[in-house]
Amino acid sequence: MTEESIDQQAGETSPEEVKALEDIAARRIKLALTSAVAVCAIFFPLPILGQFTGALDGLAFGGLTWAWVYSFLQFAVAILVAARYAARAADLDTDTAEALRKKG
Amino acid sequence: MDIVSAGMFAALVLVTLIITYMAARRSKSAADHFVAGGQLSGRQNGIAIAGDYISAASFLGVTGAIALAGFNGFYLAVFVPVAYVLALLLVAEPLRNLGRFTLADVLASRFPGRDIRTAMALSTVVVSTLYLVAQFVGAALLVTLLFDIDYMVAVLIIGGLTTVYTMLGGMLATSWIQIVKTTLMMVCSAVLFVLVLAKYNFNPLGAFSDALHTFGQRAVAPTRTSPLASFDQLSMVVGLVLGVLGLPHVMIRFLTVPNAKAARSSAVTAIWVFTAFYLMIPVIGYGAAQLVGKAEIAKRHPAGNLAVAQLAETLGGGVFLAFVAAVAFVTILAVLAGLVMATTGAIAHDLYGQVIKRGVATPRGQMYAARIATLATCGIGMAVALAAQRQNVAFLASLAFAVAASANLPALLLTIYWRRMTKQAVLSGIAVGLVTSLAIILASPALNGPDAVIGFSNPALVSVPLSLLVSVIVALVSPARGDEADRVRAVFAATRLKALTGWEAGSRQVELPTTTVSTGKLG
Repeated sequence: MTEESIDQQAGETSPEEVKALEDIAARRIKLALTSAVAVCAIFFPLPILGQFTGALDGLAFGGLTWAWVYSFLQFAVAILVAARYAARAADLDTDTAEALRKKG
Repeated sequence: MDIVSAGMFAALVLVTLIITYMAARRSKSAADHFVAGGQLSGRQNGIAIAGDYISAASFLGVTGAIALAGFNGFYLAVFVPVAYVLALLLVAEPLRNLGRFTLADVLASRFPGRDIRTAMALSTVVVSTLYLVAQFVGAALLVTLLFDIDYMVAVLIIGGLTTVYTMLGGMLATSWIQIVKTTLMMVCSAVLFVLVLAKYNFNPLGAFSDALHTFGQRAVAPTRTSPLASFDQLSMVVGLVLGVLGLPHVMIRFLTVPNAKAARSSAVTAIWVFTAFYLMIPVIGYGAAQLVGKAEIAKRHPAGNLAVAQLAETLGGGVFLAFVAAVAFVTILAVLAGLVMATTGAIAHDLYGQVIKRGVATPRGQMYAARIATLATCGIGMAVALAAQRQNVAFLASLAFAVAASANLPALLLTIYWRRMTKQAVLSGIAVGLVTSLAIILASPALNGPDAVIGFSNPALVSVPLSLLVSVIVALVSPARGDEADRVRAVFAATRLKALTGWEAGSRQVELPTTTVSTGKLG
């Protein structure tokens, strides 16, 4: 986007509208970053514990070691976080459309 | 090759050629060619993403690795859903909202100009070519073993078909071939999974218990040799997780849908497919170790790449083996087609259309450039594959991930999210990521054996933080000042809003939640 196009378009946009959208963008970033940090905090101990300690070597049940149990947990976490994010992001889409509808 | 294998092989190739023919008839514009007109639905694209990502190395290699190495083989699979959740959270929607045909479009939306576009296009070409060469050589060797045909014939068939798909059918054909491939691969895996489960009275943990009792705890627990080897393994996992978010052929798939909502739905669908697929793999892997035997698997291929084929033959006879071989072949073609599309997009759209022609290339000229780039990319892939038959180039795939994580990812994330990011910082980060990754791999044991200067092979754990650090430092020491600072702030604010809400200053093109998504049907 060039400076010219921004200057030309700025006049067509109300400050309230931009403020509402910026709030939505900030909420989206907060949601994405907190979810991403949680996913990383759950995932990265797997290779660290597995490769540098024997913490996951023990048998849990049915032939599974804690390493396998922890690995399968990653899939559940992925599904849950994806579903939660998709639902929250859909709400943010609604808020975005609403903010534009009010002013538009 | 027997008559059953030849029949299945011919039938699947015919299906892919029909898809290509139908896609070629529909493909009229550059947008159709590069991103399937942006008209795939989220579900379709999610399945295609799985087809784009799950290579023969995943389908055959991870299973074989678990059969031979036990738990450590699963490191090559467990990161996948995590990586795609991160892609969903951090890049899928901004990519769709900012990009057009390539990753460079995303950077150019905040930092217009030829230098940034050139840097990202070159990085895309490097990453995709490294991955392409690794896939090409591995694929040709695999096809040679699966179908018992000459190596050169395998290279010519794979290269020829990939060229036809991508040159004539573009992204639409590539997408549908990936969708068909994913469906077949899931059917194939599910049948194998059920056949193995049947041997254990349908107890999903039976294969694990059996492996524990037969091979001991080392088969089901993480194994460690030395601290340096553990560091290398951790570095590989970090490179794989973060690399997915910077792999051009995977990320441009988010540009084939009409809006951010569909991009989100693509990632969610892909995560479900990955979960279903990779949860079956350990059972199949341990089943292969038990039912085929580790020695027999290692005898056919030292890395266990034929374990799935051997298990299929043991459980389902020659017909099932032929089916698995044919599915593995389509898997190879689908991934190669995706890689070729990413490379040609960077060459034809970024380097030719935007850098050489300064954004005024005619659609016809851009398509002409795309066709030449396709021929060149496939030609190089085939030439290297023919020359490197006896070379171990498998390390190129992990290098591609590491370069993607080091060069592309910091540039993408900081451009989208960080207010203080500058053009110089983007260029520095890409350069440092690219050079550091390549330097480490050139000095590593993967290329030089035990006498290597450094003791580990995967660069990600060093090159990603370094690239990030350099990007941040350069951005902080060279901020824009005065009027330029105001302009830069305004551009960032506009880019950020567009990336995160889909709203562009002066327009009202934000999709409403009730928007109907059209589908990219063929024909």
